[in-house]
Formats: sequence, C-alpha cells, structure tokens
Amino acid sequence: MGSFGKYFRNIRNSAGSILDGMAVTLSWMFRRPYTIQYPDRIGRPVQDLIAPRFRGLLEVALPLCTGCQLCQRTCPIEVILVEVKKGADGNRYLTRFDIDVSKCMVCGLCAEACPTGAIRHTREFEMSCDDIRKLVLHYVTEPVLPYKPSARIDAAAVPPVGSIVKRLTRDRHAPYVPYVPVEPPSAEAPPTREGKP
Amino acid sequence: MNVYAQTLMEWLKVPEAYLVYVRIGVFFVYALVALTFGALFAGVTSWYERRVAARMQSRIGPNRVGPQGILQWLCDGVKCFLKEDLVPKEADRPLFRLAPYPVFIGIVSTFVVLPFSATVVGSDLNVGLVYLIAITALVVAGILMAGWSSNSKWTLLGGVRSAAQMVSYEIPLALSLLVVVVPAGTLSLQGLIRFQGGAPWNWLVFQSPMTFVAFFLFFTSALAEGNRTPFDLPEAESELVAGYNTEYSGLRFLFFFFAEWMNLYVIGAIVTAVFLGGWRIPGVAWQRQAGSPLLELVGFALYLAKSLVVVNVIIWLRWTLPRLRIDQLMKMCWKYFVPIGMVSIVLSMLFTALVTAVPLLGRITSIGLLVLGGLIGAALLRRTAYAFSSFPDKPYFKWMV
Repeated sequence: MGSFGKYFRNIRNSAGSILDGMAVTLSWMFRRPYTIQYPDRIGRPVQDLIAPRFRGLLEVALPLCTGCQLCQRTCPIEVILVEVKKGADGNRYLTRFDIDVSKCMVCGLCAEACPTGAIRHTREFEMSCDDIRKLVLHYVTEPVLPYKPSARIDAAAVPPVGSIVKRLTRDRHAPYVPYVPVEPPSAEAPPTREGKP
Repeated sequence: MNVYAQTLMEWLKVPEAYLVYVRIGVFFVYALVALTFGALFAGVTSWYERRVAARMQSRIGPNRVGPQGILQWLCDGVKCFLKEDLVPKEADRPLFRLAPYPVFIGIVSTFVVLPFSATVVGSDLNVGLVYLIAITALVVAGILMAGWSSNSKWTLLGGVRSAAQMVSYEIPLALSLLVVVVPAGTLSLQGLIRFQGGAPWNWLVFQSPMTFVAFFLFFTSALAEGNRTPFDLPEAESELVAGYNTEYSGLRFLFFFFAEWMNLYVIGAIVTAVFLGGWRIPGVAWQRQAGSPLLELVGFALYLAKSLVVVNVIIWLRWTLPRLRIDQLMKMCWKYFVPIGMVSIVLSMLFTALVTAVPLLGRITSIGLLVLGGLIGAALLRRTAYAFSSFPDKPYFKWMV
C-alpha cells in the first residue's frame, strides 16, 4: 500500500470513526438521565436515596448514653462537649451534650468509640442556616440520668436513627435562641429517668 | 423584496417617483423581521443545545425557567444586559469596544441573500454565493480585533488561531460551492434552489458524485468557518479560557454568542439552499410556488425543517467530536480539503458535460447517490443500535424531564 492508498484510507477511517462517535452520542439520547433533581423533584425523601451507612450529622440517643465521655476524648477537633454533674441526691447527671456541627468533619471516630452506640451518624445532612451559633446542637435539655449497662432497656425507648437530629434541626431558620445551661436537680425535685418504663 | 414594494405601490397608488422610499421602507420592515427571526432562533437554540448536550451526557439540562426551561435564554440575556460592560485597563479601548460589531454584522448580513421562501428574500443577488463568502469574512476581522485589542495572552492566541483557521477554510468553502455552481450555472441562491427539485433525487447533493463530496466538504468547512466544535480552537475552553472573548462581559460578550448561535441557522440555511433543495415542494413547479401564499408558507416550513435537521446535526457533532489540534486542522484543510475540492471542480465540469450529452446517466447517478446516502444513514442506525445494546439500560424515550 503506497502513500496514495494511505491517503484514502485516512479519509475512510476518519469518516468511519466520526460515524461511530455519532452513534454513541445518539444512543445516549434514548437512555435515562442519571440526574437527581434535588431538592424538589425527587418524589421521595432524599435521605432514602443515600447509602444506609452514610456519615451524616451526628446524633445522640440519650437513653443509651452512659456519660463516659469517650467520644469527647476521641474527637480530634473537640467537636463534642459532654458534662456530667453530681446532683443533690448523690446521682451523677448528664447536664450537657453539645455537638458543634460547624466544626465536625464527620470522621466517625466518636461513633466507633461509643461503647453503647448512643452517638451515631444519621443520613441527615441539611443543616444550612444563617447563624453559626445555631450549628451547635444541644442534645440535653433537662438533666438526664446516664444509662447503666447492667440495667435492662426497652428497645422501643431508643428513638429511631435520624429522628432526634431531625427534630433539632427543624427550626434552623428561626431566630437564634441562646442555650440555657442545664443544672442537676436539687433535692426537692425528684429526677426522671429517661428510657425507663 | 422588490416585488412586494411594487405591489405595495400599486395597492396604495403611490406615484412612481417615491419608489425608492417605498423600497427602503419595505426593506426596513424585512430587516426587522429577519433580525427578529435570527435573534429568536439564536436564543432558543442556546437553550435547545444545552438540553441536547445534557442528554448526551446523561444529564437533564436547564428545565426550570418556563415549561421545560424554554425561557432560559431570556434569563441569560437579561443577566448579560445587567452586567457591567468592563474594558480592561491595558486594552485598546476603541478597538475593544468596536470588535463585537463586525462579528455580529458579518453573520446578520447573510440574511440579505438567505431566502425564506420563493419570493421572501432580502435581495436575490446574482452573486449571492460570492456575497456570502465575502461578508462572512468580516467575522475574522472582528475576532482578530477582539483578540488583539484585549491585550491578553488568551485572547491574542484565540484571535490568531481564528485568523489562521478561517482564512484557510474559506478556500475549501468557496471551492465546494463552485462544484455546485458548475452544474447549476448560477451564483444566486434563489437560482440554485430553482435549479433543484423538491424530491430528494433532484437535490444538488445527489446531483453528481462530486456534489455529494462537496456537500460534506462544505458542511465541514462551514463548521470551521463558524468556529464550531470540533474546530473551536479560537475559543478552546480548556486551553484558552474562552479564547478571543475572554475579556468581554455584559452585552458585548452577548454579541459574540448571539452571532455564534445565529451562525448555526446561517450554516443550516446555506446548506439547505445550496444542497438540499431549499424551499422546493416535491411535485410543484417553482413558478406556482411563487404565486400562492399558502404554497410559500409550506415551502418556508419545509425550508425551516431541513435547516433544523442540519442544525441538529451540527449540535450533535459538537457533543461528539473532540477538538482538533491546530496542526491537524491545517493538515485537514490543505492536504485533504483543498485538493479534493479542486479535483471535484474539474470532475464536476466533465460530469456536467457528460450528463448534457446523456441525460439518463444523470438520473441513474442521482438514484445511486440517494441509495448511498440511505446506506450511510442505515450504517449509522446500526451502529447506534450496537452502541445502545452495549449498555444495560432500558430504552427511555421521555425527553421532557
């Protein structure tokens, strides 16, 4: 094959490959687009489309929390703040459990360290708001007795994954309300044990 | 349009002395209509192209503004109107501000000779094709002006590339048109359309093997002239930011893009007029078509439909082919297109002489070439089916997503 033949072969090859390429792009016109039209045209909640073990916002199931503060010590960037105080009745009370979402890098170390699985990742991720102070999630609103591993606990008392953080982030567009520190109960008011039947 | 000026004068009983003014008025109205048509086309195409591109990349594309996002182009236009008209500090100010206009004028002026139907045409110049080639050369001037005056590396590279590319590709463009002019014996676009017939085997593409080659030659060269992918080196996004229009913003930026999308229609319309039978309706003589308004409308619809098919192919090509390198571009022009064009002209002359002697040969050639075109289409469909079957997806024919 001389250079003359090569010349025409080049023309034929380029025409054929252009046709091939056009066939490929045309075939995509008859396939379903993979775009998910988040947030308003997806048909079902976006959380259901996410992988089950997605590392979203952290949440704490207080009925399971022992107050061991392992998560606080594991966290490399001090996102978690846990406070346990002694009440007048001699019991230790959980008085503070804050997670600063604005700092959290969702590494998942805290969830791994937790002995009872109280702190866990959810599939929630919608946390945009206009005030960075709202990004600190306060899980303790009243003094809570920590969970004792020896105690039996009703599985129904543990809220489903995602329900707690969903409730906390529901009003994220409302004006900022300062957090009122929780104090352990004095002797007069008998404490409640969350999660106990 | 002179016919309409004459009719208007008789209808209004205007004295003969005012003929010039009536003509100017009629032309003015026609220019407005043609410009509006071009502007609407450019706008809607900008949205349509994005939708098609999206589907070819398994996306959806703009579908929020208006039904299916059809008003997206209005939003983009308003956005550009409201933006600041920036001129870089070191730029050549007057030249920078002037540059979008030659580009725009170069594209819009083609509407003078581009017909819409049998009688609706700005002016049926007897040198229509020469005019087309000449007036589109203004675009090069504008792009080079923009590239030089911006005083930026990217724009200068874009401008110089554009000059090299467009000057080179004007030669195969003109050569491929000459191949068609030989059998038709006219340079006027309307004359070329009248020479053709409505039925596909009477089109100039299938007139002879040489015109068949010239069709592809012209189409490709026109793409290169219009800076369309795969020949978009002047504005290569991945290399030159945006090429010659990098420093532009606001309305002046819009002018460049306006011209680019209007150019889509211009390419489609020229290809349709010269090669694909223009506004001819199968089985109707052109004299009859020039007389009745209804037939003119049908002719316009046919013309538009054919142009839109060509525009679709251009869009399709853009999202298929990767950009050529500058040396490949030049090689393609000078080593392939120009020699093929020249040989085609000579062969076209010989063939025209032969067909004049043996008319049956012309008919057989036309039918044969039509079959060849069909075979190419069938090959494309077969390959599409193959490409489709290689993917485990169900067919999905819903385009309104």
